[in-house]
Amino acid sequence: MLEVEGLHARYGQVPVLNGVSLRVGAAERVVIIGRNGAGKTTLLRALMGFLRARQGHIRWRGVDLTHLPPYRRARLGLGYVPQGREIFPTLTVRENLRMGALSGDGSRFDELLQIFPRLGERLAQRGGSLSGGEQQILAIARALMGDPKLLLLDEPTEGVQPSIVDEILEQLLGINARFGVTMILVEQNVDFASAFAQRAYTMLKGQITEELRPEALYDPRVIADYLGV
Amino acid sequence: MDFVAVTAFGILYAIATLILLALGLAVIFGMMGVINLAQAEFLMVGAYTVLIATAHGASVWIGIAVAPVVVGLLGLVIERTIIRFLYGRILDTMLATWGLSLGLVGLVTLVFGPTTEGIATPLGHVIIGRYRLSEYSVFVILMAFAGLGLTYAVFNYTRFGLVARATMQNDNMVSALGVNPARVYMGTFAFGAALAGLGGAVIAPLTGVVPTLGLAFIAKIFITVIVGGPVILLGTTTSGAVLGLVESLVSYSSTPIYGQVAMLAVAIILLRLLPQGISGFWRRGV
Ligand SMILES: Nc1ncnc2c1ncn2[C@@H]1O[C@H](COP(=O)(O)OP(=O)(O)OP(=O)(O)O)[C@@H](O)[C@H]1O
Ligand SMILES: [Mg+2]
Repeated sequence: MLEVEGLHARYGQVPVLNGVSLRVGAAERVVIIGRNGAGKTTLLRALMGFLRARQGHIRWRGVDLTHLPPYRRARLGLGYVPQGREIFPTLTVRENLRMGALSGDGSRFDELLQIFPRLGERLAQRGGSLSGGEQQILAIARALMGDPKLLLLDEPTEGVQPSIVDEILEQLLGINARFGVTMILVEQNVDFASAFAQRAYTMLKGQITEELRPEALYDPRVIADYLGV
Repeated sequence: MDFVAVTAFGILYAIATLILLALGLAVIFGMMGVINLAQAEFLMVGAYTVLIATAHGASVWIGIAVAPVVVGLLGLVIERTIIRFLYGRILDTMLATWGLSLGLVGLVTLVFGPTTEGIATPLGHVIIGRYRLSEYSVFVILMAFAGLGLTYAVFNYTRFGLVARATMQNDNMVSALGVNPARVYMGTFAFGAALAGLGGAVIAPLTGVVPTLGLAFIAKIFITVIVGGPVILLGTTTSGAVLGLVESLVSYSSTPIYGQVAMLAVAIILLRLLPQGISGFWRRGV
């Protein structure tokens, strides 16, 4: 489905991705772990097209995405839940969701409200007035409104209270099973990452260093190498 | 009694024209943050559209209907050829649009000459006691309300409006949702230009048409939009009401010069007290 090979990217003169290669199959759930500054966000941004690939390529369902702008990638089925959520704060929850449906027909609306009942209760509220966890759920639901085939999630548990973290985990697993959405998750929460993923990649200094089974994320060596503080 | 009624009407008219002429700038500068120094020329081209229409035997109403289309298209071309390269670069934008402003004035002067051309004011008069009011100025007031209502509806009830509001907040996120933000900026700029074209066209029969028509208004409308603050429509309406009231009251009791001085003074005081503009602390919206 998704093939990334030798992807290089940089901010100005600072190289951040130094040849990332990975493969993700249809409906697969993959996690990428790595310390702060490893380049995880940069990788997702490069996959989404916000950062130019200096070398390497990105192929998605047979289409070469490498030089397409983000909106074209979105129309080809990529969905993005950025770190920090980036919901539209002055737009209402309903309007945020309508923004998500721009490239689709919005037929997901009722179905998604059933999956995310918290949003249904707050449709007329402004996005910025939601709690952090609710905003995270809104960002996920917004991305799903467009019927993506590949969802990129950047640390959806960051700053979210534990009860909502569990809720998000269940919802993501449910959506993956129900709609067959392929998911790439960037995460530093080991419990969440191992419960979510079928496969894990580790990232260090802008490169993928290991491919692991999710149980291995609890290995003290892995924790020390990729998550240790 | 008649005097009070006529004065009140005069104030309402001053407020309405201020809002009507500032509306396009509220979109282009208030919403998009583009300091468009050629905004006055958008008004001017709108006015000339009415002049040309009437010179070719069409009615003023046809001219007013066509002007937003003409100026909207002009805005589209200007966005594609100049503005789109300058988003976020304030100084470059000011220089480029200043040059554009001079160029447009020069071009129109070359083609139509530097003199003021009159357009016969349509509609008749109403007599209030010893005073005569032109019915056309009632139309101008109605058009201000219509322009406000239209703009409000476009931004709140259409897909384009929703996407435009979202794009001004976070254009990267909008592109991650499958929309090309460049298109949205283009459309929003053209819409603001069209509104200016409408304003210029509507006032043309009352002011007369001259290449430098917009210069009389450019400072006022920038002040109105700046004082209005981030909630562009309600903010601009409120500040238009306050500043228009001050200007016309002082003008009536002394001279128009003092009216403008008073307006500027009140604007400065308001911005001292509310640096974000009148709507700075309001719940955000359009
Ligand atoms: N906009 C930017 N301009 C310049 N350098 C940047 C920018 N964003 C990130 N970087 C640098 O790129 C490197 C990788 O950043 P990135 O955000 O991808 O890390 P991350 O793995 O997502 O970290 P975290 O876990 O803290 O989110 C860091 O060294 C960071 O300082
Ligand atoms: Mg990150």
